Amino acid sequence: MEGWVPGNLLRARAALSAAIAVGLLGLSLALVPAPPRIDPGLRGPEEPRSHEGIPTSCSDCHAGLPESLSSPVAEFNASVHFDELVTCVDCHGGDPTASTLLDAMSPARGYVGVPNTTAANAACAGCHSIEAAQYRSGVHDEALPGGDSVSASCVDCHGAHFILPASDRNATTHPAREPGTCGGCHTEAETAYEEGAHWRRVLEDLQGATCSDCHRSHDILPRDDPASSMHPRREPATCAACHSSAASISGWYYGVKTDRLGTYQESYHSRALKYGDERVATCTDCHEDHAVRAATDRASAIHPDNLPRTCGQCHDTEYSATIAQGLVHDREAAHSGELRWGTEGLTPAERSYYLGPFDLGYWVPLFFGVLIPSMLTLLALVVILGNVRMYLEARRK
Amino acid sequence: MTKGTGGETGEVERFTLHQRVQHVLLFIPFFLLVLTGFPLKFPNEWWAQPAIDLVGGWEMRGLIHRASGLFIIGLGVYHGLWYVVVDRSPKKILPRKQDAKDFLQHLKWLVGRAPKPRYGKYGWVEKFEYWGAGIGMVIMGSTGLVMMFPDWAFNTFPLATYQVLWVVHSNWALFDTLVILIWHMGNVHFTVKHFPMDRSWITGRISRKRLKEDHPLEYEEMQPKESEPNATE
Repeated sequence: MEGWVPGNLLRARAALSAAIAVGLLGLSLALVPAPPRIDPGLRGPEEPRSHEGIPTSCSDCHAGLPESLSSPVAEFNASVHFDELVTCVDCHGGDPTASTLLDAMSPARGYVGVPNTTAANAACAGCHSIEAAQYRSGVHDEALPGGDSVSASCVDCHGAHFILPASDRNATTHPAREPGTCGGCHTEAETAYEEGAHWRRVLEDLQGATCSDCHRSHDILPRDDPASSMHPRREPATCAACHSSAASISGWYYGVKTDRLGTYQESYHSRALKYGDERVATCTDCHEDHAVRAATDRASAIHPDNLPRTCGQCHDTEYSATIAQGLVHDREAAHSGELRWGTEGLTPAERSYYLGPFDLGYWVPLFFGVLIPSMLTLLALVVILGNVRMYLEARRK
Repeated sequence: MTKGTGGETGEVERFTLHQRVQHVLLFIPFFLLVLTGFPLKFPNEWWAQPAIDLVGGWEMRGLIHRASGLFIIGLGVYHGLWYVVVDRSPKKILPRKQDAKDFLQHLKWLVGRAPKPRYGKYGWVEKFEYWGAGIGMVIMGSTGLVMMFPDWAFNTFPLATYQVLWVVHSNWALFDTLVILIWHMGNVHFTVKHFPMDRSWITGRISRKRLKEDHPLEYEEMQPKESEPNATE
């Protein structure tokens, strides 16, 4: 071809490689993830909504009444419901536009006064339909006979007038206040919980698990219900939501280990549980349900000193201190009283204590890891080649 | 018995009834152990739950596994005692130097560099399997017995020891099962000669033709009693 001289070839190659380089660069830039866009809706509270046109006759009157009748108004006006334009009528009925007091608060105009539990729950459900549906599937709703409150209804946990989102420090459902709220009825659980490590963490930086993290908020079920987050078959996953999630609690930050579910699943307990044996130990059987403490805490059920008793609860055996020698769903070591993150740096004495003599935990699996594939490959080769030989010899005859 | 009759026709005894019964009493509980053991080692495999259901549930799994294990331990003890106390002539199954030589020659034969080694009643192939099963019984039986009494074990050894026992037990089980699958199936079932199986384990007999092919030394041993002179001399 005319003009197809080495110089042109060189230029063609240069152009081609440049094109490829540009293409690759463009491709790699396209593959770089875009920085996440921040949804303007997540930036913070919106502008306060206008209360214009909402009749104020209820609060005008009540503000001048004695404490028990005026404080609801003050509380309500500081609540999230006030900001969201919920009004007195939505729960109490009546007609604030009426010209007289008697008309405004007449049953004929829908006035119910203090609503009973059923009516109050129904009023909440008018807006909070998802939460209401969850609540109705839970144990608290089941325990409400007739409409009188013997179990927790919406207002028992959230308050009636001074309702705030759980992120607000003054909310009854804020992490720092939730245990007190639930503890209003569940006193023993609250007392035990407040001895545990979760509560200590809440007091430090609000990061510890509180009641609803384990029991859920609205669809709370008794432990023997298979759908309960605390049912033995679901409990490991419930705890693992934090304790096996490096995204939820990173070990380096919290000083706790994160592969709790994976190491539990290696145990006989977990295997038996998988096949339906619900008598076996799940998380709370060893770590306690509410007073969950670190293994390094002398009062902890899993502190080495207390392990003979803790394991003996189910196994019906007098255990000796030997039971505490070794690692329970822990690839490193937590029993020495300090957290360790690997087997490096262990003294020979520690190594044999945690891993057995001669570090058998390392050498034995390695032995089988070599023996099984190499031996079987050899045997398979002998068998296959032997058959080839037998076939050839049979054909030769 | 049939010993002493020459020629390549007819059959001779390969396994006694006593041996054949022990073989069946070994492999039935072995299958049960495999079936009830591996769902515990591999709980997340698709076949794990069906295997548990097949044997009648979780509780049954443990019962069958322990009963089968104890049965094989008993069988092993019985077998050992029989050859130590009653029948004191198990010479043919004892390993000899010749087995190592045969093994090397067998490897050469596989690649066509030597004639096939001339085996007696039991060559290294059979001895490997026999003694492998024996070592397996000791390893599986001892680790299994300890794990049958976990509370005693927890009070006696550090937990790491117990975990090592589990690693040994479950890995040796895997090894044993794969050896049976590859070696045993490969040598007496899925071979060019015997497919679908060598019937000796049922009939206890082997044809003289095959005896001459596969166990020439044993075949020749039978000949001198005949009128023919010994072929090897």
